[in-house]
Amino acid sequence: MHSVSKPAMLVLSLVALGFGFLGVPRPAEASDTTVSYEKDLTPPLKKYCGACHSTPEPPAGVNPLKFKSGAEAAKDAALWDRVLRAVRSGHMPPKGTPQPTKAERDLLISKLEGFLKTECGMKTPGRVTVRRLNRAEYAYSVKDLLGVDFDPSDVFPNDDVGYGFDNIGDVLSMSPMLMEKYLDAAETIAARALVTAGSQKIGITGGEFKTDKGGAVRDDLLVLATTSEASVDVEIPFEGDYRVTLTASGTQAGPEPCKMRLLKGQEVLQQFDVPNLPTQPATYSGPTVRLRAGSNRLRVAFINDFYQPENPDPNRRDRNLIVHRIDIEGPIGGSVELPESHRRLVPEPPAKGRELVAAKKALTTLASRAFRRPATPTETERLVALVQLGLKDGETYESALRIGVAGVLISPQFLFRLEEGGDKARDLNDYEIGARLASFLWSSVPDASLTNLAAAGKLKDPAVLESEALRMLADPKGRRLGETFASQWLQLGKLESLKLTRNYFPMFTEKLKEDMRVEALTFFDDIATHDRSILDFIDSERMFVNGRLATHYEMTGITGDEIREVKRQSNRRGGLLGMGAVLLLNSNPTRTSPTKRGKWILEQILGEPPPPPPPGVEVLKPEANENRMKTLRAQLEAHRSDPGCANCHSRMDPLGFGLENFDASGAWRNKDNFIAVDASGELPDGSKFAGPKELREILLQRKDRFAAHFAETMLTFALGRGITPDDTCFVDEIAKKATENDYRFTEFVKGVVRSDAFRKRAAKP
Amino acid sequence: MSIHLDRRTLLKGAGAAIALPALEAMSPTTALACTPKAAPVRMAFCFVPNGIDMANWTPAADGAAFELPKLLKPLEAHKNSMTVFTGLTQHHARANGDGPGDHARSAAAWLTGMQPRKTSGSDIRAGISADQVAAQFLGKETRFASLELGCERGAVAGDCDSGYSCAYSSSISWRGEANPNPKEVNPRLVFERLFGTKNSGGPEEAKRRKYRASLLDLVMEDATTLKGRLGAKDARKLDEYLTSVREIEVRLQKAEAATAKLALEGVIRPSGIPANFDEHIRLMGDMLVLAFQADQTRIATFMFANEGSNRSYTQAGVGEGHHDMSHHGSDPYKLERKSRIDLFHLQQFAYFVDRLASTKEEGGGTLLDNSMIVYGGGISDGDRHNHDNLPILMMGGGGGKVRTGRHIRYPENTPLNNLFLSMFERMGIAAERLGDSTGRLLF
Repeated sequence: MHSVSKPAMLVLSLVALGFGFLGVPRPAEASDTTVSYEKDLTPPLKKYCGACHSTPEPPAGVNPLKFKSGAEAAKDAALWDRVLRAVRSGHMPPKGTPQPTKAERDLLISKLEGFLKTECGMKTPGRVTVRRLNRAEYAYSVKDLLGVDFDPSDVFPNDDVGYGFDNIGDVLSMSPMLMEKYLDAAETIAARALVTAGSQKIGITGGEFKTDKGGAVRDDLLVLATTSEASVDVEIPFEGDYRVTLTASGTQAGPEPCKMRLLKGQEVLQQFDVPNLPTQPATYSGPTVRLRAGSNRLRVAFINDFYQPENPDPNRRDRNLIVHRIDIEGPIGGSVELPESHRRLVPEPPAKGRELVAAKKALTTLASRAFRRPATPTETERLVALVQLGLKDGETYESALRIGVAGVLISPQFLFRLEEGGDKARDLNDYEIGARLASFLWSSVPDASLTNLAAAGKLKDPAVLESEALRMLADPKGRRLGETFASQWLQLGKLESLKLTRNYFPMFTEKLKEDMRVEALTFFDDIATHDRSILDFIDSERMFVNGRLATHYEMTGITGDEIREVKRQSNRRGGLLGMGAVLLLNSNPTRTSPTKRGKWILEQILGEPPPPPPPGVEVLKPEANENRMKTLRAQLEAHRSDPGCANCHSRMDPLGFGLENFDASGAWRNKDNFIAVDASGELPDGSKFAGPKELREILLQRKDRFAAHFAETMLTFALGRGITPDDTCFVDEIAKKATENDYRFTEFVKGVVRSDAFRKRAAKP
Repeated sequence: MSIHLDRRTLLKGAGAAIALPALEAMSPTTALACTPKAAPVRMAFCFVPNGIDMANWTPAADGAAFELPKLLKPLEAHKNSMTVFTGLTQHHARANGDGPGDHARSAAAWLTGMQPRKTSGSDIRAGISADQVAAQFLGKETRFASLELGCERGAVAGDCDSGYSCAYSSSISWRGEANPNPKEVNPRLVFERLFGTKNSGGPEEAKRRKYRASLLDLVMEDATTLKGRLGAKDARKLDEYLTSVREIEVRLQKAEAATAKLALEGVIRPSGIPANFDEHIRLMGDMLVLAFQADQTRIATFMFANEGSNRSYTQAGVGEGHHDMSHHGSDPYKLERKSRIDLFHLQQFAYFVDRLASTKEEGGGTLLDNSMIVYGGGISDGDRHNHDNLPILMMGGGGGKVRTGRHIRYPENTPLNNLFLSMFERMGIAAERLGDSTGRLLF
């Protein structure tokens, strides 16, 4: 089976537009195959396509009949790939024109597949553009290299997305702003990794609190005027017990004094009465609290707001809490434990005069992991020179070493994943394979085991490669695939900015939305960890819910915050299409969108994206007011009566209609706008279904298509580049092997890392 | 200590809590020690998506005697500083054979006047934008060549509009034809970039700068050597890195001169992104005023929202998504909501203009007098997606070089880029062409 999904199609459409696309793969010469252009392809294409496509300006620039010979035709793989996908998905020939019988269509599909088929060994493995680390990779690499938690998500700009993923070398660019942030981050991280000894006194004014969740900052004060809380992140060099002291006051009103709570994470450390006025701030000492090395979030909450604007005494109308400052002192008692990051870099303080020797050792180790290959002596010497500069200025060894660490973190060798060499085809070396593996499965740098195998020259061995991939999946770091790969495949990122209109969905909360996201990721994780069949994504008995989700899904007997595995209680839900996250992210703020839901199924599950709407057509346009009273289905049906819209909408909308029993928030409903929901649909091939259960069954009939699309999606992510028609044979091979092995998750992973696309690089991009 | 606590002000949050002192003390750094010279002219482009309710935007009369239509009313106090341009077109936001995708195209073409290439993957390409041309000419005068601000991050999933990469609909500022500038959306981070964190300054700062310079030297060498060992396409990526490092080096040198000046007493650091959208826009506006006032930059872009944005505007009483409402199909209900959103944006813009107008400049006049602030978008009617007759206005006198207080109508299909050329001329930028410009706009 051949499959090239949306990204490839876009590349292809560029080709059609005349943009250069060097290295377009060639199908086997006509003589190599049993399929003949003249005998097998031309007649049916003439009969069903010729009227429109065999013209000087054919629709979409596609004219499959323009070739003078089979050999000439075979050179344009990109075109044949488009033709195949259009015929296979049923959107060509369009409705209203003569249609082939099912047998004719199937025959044409198999002939087209045969025409495109070649041996994988003859295919170019493609070329991955040098890749800048994206935000996730940066954070994970820093964590694995140094043991430092650093969250770049607020600080670095979003990474651009191509082919559905944010790890595509071609689109990941570098800007002065980002470089500036890398420099800041390198210094911050180095300072976190290496601590300077001594007890700490940290004072933070109220003005530095984060007020994202309430409160306001006024001069150096934090003011909580309603029942609300604010937080502050305290950077602690050593784990230990610390004393936290708050300086606070309040405008007093009502029967009781201001009540203030100090919290660490969710845990209430202490509650205080704060009776003093703003003119007389007082200190409130909390208990000693265990803080870990790195960033610790402390929160201050005001819990008894009082407001009585009509009170005759203007000083008794409004109760507000004011936080002047927070002080942290410690560690108290006990021996100080240096953070692991520190011990890694400075196992013991160097003897006087031996600092540069120690620095060289530490930086060689660090740079070799960060650069994903042994650091060269020149590279190390330059880093050591930075340390020397610091020492000359009178810095302590630790402070001077920080400069060297920062040097590693802003080096292009770390920030980019490089595969050197000009425009020559070659096998990747062991270190490069290790780097690709670590980037694919862990979004990080290789660990010691990978590095050792690379040094021994063993990673090129496909058997070792496979067993390493499995080891990496089983490692706790393998869980990162959910946040990196699955979350983008399923487009969960869209949830972040998605807001439902409160008037329409009063029960919907941000918490529930986050639960939905976790539900989807947990489900993915379960399939990956237990090496289950990927068909479970389409339908499964297993669900992962907590109390809130269970209530939303009308399930009984499940309470509490924790998301856990349960067996489904009805066949309304099962697999991705019953999940709140998927239903929600394909909805509008006030209503469902069968079109978006159908499009999502076509794109993310089947890999058969509809082409973009033709010029001049736009989204749903109710002609008049009364349309707002019609059901969405009626409006969409009116829309589909326009032949310009019908061809694609007849593929998208029916799939979405099957999910109409789920409202925009993903809750079950029997009525929409007081009219009973009609969840039936008819697909272009005539198959009919009603409701989510039958929709899932329909999709399961196309399980091999899903497997091929899943393989292709994973390959895109693993390589960090778009998939071209050339990759079709790799995709097919991965999917075929997995299909023969019960569609098991690890079969896809093994297939990806075994493929030439993963282990080699072509001469030209 | 005595503090007056007004509940309403407090509840309004960080945006309102910013109490800006008279900042004359920190205005143009370069000019501090010498006699005041003519204040520099500043340029900014404020962008709003999904078209505008043009019936309530375009003044009925031309020339100086025009009445402000509903949407422009929030700017009433500054009518004398206003120039409304009617009839301008951004031709390359049109399909021109590329099919749908007007939203993505109109953002990427807005300041570039170039046809964005239709792709959702590799090979994004538009053109260099007007602000970046200005930055090339004037950027060296200030620490930051330009600032790119916004209230919505770039989208994180999928292609954004009918096969166009998300980079298009979320970027109006293009450093090069393939390099959209990322935006800063967090006011706190803008502030820290401009004025440093709480801990900056002092002898430690000088040392830190020295180490930074050495760090940058090192990676510069590294990258240069490396480049020679890469294929052509990979080498281009390394070039982006090298260019960025060079720019930071320059910035570092300028920072030295600047930090001494930036004792921002009384200015409150924003603590993050305000929960309410109006405060978010206003606070970003505050940051831009500060940046101009302290002469940290003279050029900026500010996207109130990304093109095609479907956020709801509960503060304006619109629960539905903006994009959904912009496709009004002449439905009065949707039109009314679209108009409310437009008004909301203009109210926030008016706040920014107020701030510019109330900021005195050292050499006399106000910041507004010395600015050219363009406001508008790349789509005219959100339902028709047309790119002619765009909503474009300019606030500010450009240092006395703009005859303001007028509504000017141009012939159909006059390129919007002609306006940019005219702005360049008023800033002393010798650029004769940009994108599809055909000459300078007369005003």
